[in-house]
Amino acid sequence: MKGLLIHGVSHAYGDNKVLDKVAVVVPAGELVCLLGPSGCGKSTLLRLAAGLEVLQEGSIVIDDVTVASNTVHVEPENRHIGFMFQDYALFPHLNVLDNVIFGMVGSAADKARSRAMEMLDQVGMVDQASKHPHTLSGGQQQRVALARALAPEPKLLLLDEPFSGLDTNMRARIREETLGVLKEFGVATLMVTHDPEEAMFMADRIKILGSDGHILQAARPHEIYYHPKHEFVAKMFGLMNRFDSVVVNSQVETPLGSVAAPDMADGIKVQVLIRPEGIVLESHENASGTAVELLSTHLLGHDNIVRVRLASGSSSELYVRVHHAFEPELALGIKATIDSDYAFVFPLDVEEGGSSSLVKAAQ
Amino acid sequence: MTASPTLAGSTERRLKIDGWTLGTAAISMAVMLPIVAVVIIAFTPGDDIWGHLTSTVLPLYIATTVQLMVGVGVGTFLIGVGGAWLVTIYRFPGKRFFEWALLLPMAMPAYVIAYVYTDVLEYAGPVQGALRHLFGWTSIQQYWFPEIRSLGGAISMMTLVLYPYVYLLSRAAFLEQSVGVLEASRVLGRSQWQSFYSVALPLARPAIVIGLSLVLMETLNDFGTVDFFAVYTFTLGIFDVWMNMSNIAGAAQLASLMLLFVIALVLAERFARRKKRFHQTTTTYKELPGYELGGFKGLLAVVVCALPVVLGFVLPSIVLSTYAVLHFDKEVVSQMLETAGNSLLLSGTAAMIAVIVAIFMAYGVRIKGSPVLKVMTRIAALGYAVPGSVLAVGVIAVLASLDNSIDGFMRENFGVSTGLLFSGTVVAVIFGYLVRFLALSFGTVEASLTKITPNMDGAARTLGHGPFETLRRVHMPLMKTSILTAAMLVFVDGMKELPLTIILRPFNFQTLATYVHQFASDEQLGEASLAALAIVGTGIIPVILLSLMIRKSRPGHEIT
Amino acid sequence: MVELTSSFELEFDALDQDHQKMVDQVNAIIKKIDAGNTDDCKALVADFVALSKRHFAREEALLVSVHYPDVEKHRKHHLDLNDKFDHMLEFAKMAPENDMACESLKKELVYFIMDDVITADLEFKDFLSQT
Ligand SMILES: Nc1ncnc2c1ncn2[C@@H]1O[C@H](COP(=O)(O)OP(=O)(O)O)[C@@H](O)[C@H]1O
Ligand SMILES: [Fe+2]
Ligand SMILES: [Fe+2]
Ligand SMILES: [Mg+2]
Repeated sequence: MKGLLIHGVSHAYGDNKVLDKVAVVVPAGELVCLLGPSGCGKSTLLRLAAGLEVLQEGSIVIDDVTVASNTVHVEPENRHIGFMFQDYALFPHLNVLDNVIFGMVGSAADKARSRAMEMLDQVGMVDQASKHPHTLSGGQQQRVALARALAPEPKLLLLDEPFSGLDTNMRARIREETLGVLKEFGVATLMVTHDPEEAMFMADRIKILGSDGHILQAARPHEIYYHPKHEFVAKMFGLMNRFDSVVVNSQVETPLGSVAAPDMADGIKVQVLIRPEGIVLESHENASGTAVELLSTHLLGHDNIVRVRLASGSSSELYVRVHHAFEPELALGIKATIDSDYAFVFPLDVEEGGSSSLVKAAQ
Repeated sequence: MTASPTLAGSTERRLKIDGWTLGTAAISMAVMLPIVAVVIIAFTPGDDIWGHLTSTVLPLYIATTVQLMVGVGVGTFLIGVGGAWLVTIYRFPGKRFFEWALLLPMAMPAYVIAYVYTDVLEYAGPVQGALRHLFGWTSIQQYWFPEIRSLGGAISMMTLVLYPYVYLLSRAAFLEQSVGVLEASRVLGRSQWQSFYSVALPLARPAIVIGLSLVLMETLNDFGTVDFFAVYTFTLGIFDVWMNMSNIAGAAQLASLMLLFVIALVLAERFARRKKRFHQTTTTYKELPGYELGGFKGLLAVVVCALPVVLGFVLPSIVLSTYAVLHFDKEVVSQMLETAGNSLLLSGTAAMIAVIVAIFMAYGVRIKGSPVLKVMTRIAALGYAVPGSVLAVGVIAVLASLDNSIDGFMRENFGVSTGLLFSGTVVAVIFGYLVRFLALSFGTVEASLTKITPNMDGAARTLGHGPFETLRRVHMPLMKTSILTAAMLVFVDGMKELPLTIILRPFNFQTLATYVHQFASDEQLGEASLAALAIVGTGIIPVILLSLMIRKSRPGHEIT
Repeated sequence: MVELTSSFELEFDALDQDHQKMVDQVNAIIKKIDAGNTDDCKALVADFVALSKRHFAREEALLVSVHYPDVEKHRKHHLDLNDKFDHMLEFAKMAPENDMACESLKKELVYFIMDDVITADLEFKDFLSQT
């Protein structure tokens, strides 16, 4: 198969085990994103794929050639991959053009030059070709780094947090441009990031790497968001509302109504996690649902975050995302219901639930 | 198992012969050899003179060495820390000038000012002459005058030229301290003096300890001064036992005993460095307060700062220049040029090799990251702490056995005797310099290498360049300035070097340092003053560079 | 098109043959879609799901019989893939009308067979070779 195959990769720095039997497949032309919290070993995995770190366990195959296993280590310069570093790592003593030419080992000088100019054209940096990296803005450096990585026509592109160095207002644009360039090149790309939004935007497929170093879930962005298989995955996208409850007849009762738990046995202690957009507020006369009282609202622009409390007096606060124009001053008699697309049921952990006999989840 | 196809250029991981690891290990070992040799010789039974040594001269050597170290330690501490505190915290006339001028005595080898002051202060010299003339004395019995050729004299000479190490490091430490800490201390009701004593000094202690340990290493290393003043330290003892008693084993035994002193210093220095990392937490800079010192206090500050500069640099330079002018003739100049040529050859070659070796070692450790390799390079870089006389013993031993084995091999296989190939040649001197000064080039190169992010390596490697190409095309250009600095440091120290050179040089081969030493020992400083000036002139280069670096490292400037 | 190259082989014939059959089925579906022939997509995907489930059962039984220590974990992994079957079937149903459903179905099938099924199985490749 063309593309990248990583499997069974475990890695430790001394006693610090960072990767645990990680497997990733990136077919040719696809963009797979490895998403996980800081320090979970994402950069380590990329460095292993590039050969910058010596593999300890598992194997790495690029375009059907084993480049790393317990008997083989192909040096990075022989792997023909592109690597874009988090800090871009542009060579400060070379100008933009020479940075891009640097990787075109073995091609004639004039060929390399015209190819480099082509690449710079693709990323819109031809005008800056003779400048030195430190005179460029973050976004421009990012583009040069991308051009430099792609210029030698690598078999595989590795991106380490490619947008983390950019300020927010620039990030969205550069992200879009980068995706455009990558799709045009059709190079197999493995990108790592800790930013779920970035991953969802860019990726054909997302793999979630947990902080204990193993893969928790692998799926399309949509599936990751709407069908998280793991509490950790559900919580990656921000604030969650939580009710603890027990499964009865494959249903879980919460103060805001019941949620289906089709694969769970009766009597299991569970937590119900509901995204802020999964609580629906209505304030017209024949609204149904549980009465809540409003605590405060925070307008974010594209939506509101509304803090409410159950009218029944329970002290727990709920966070609700409201997408339409919402003026709390005009709201009266607010009722809340759950949109089950955004509500997820997970068994409680042993420590948290207290009782261990009820834990083993779906079976 | 059906093996997947592998690429050309891939290596079987298990049987990898790794040039970088081997090379780095080999070089480290070569540099470690002389030190190891000293210890081995010392513990080789046989010609054992321990008993003899302990009952005779050893107690004297120990007592003298300890007294010298204590004296120089206290002296350099007072002048170095005091000067640094004055120019860092206070404002007074000439403060900007003294900031760098206080470094000048660094250019002056201790033995040079020892010759100068002896010449000036001895009975027949101008000072006592003038005093006798003034007061009408006619003989030494009529008045008291301090004897310069004494332990006290040696302490003074070394203090005058070595305090800049303490000054440099403690000043850097004071600059690093956030003003906030000092101001907080003042606000909390401490006086300036109390703030210095209870806040600034403890915070700067690690840096001061490093400075002091450098000073004491130099003190242990000194040969010229103690030889001239007949102050029986270990170094002089080693020369004595070796040259006058022709007892190499005895010299080695003394040398290995002396290593204990060195080890203590190195440990103290390492310990202080560890603490230093801990202390360097503040990154926010603010222009230091600059308390104004006016009137009498200001004048006092000027005098305090001027005294070491005048005594340690200005006065000796004037004296040397005067002598040089008085003794200026063709003969002196041609002699000076010839010896200077030798010095240039030795120091230049040593500097070049030391830099190449340092780059190789530092880069080898960087790309291989093996802890064993790291420790080996650390040990290899310890040569700087080992006194020249001790190293000389080791270098001779190593080269002699190398010569012998080559000779034996050649005789056995080809029937020719090669004799002494390396012993007593410039190769021996250059090897000695390399062992002793590698720390300078290695430290400089390594520091600059760590400033290059590993992602630079990663980028170059993934862009298709091997480790060597990466070094050549990325790291070397980025380290250009540091590489030059490293070469310069080794070069200048080589020009000043005396004990190693005296022992290891070929017969009748003079460098500037040995030339000055020889003539000054014969009370003919005048003839050698031009050569001495040449040494001082070379020594000024790093002082200028250092003061430029201090300028640049000010808040808002970046060292490149 | 998916190609089952040596790097993806478990070197355990029964399982490799199963995987090959599943790959063939995926390729058949992709070929149909690429030829614009999406009407029997639904049936083909249903077959594929059935094939996969049979394979999972066979594989789990085998793992139990050789006392593979992490068999429970792998069983759980198979179970977690149930959602994906549902999604594939939904996409297949929409395929005749919706081009995006066709594209997503192809992608889903490729990742499923290569990553979720075979690469996940590579974890016990070494164990099998020792028994
Ligand atoms: N060269 C190294 N030596 C020791 N520990 C390291 C090294 N590189 C990374 N680590 C540690 O491994 C863990 C994972 O690091 P990394 O792969 O950089 O994570 P991420 O990129 O996901 O933030 C971290 O705890 C980090 O401290
Ligand atoms: Fe399987
Ligand atoms: Fe399986
Ligand atoms: Mg990282």
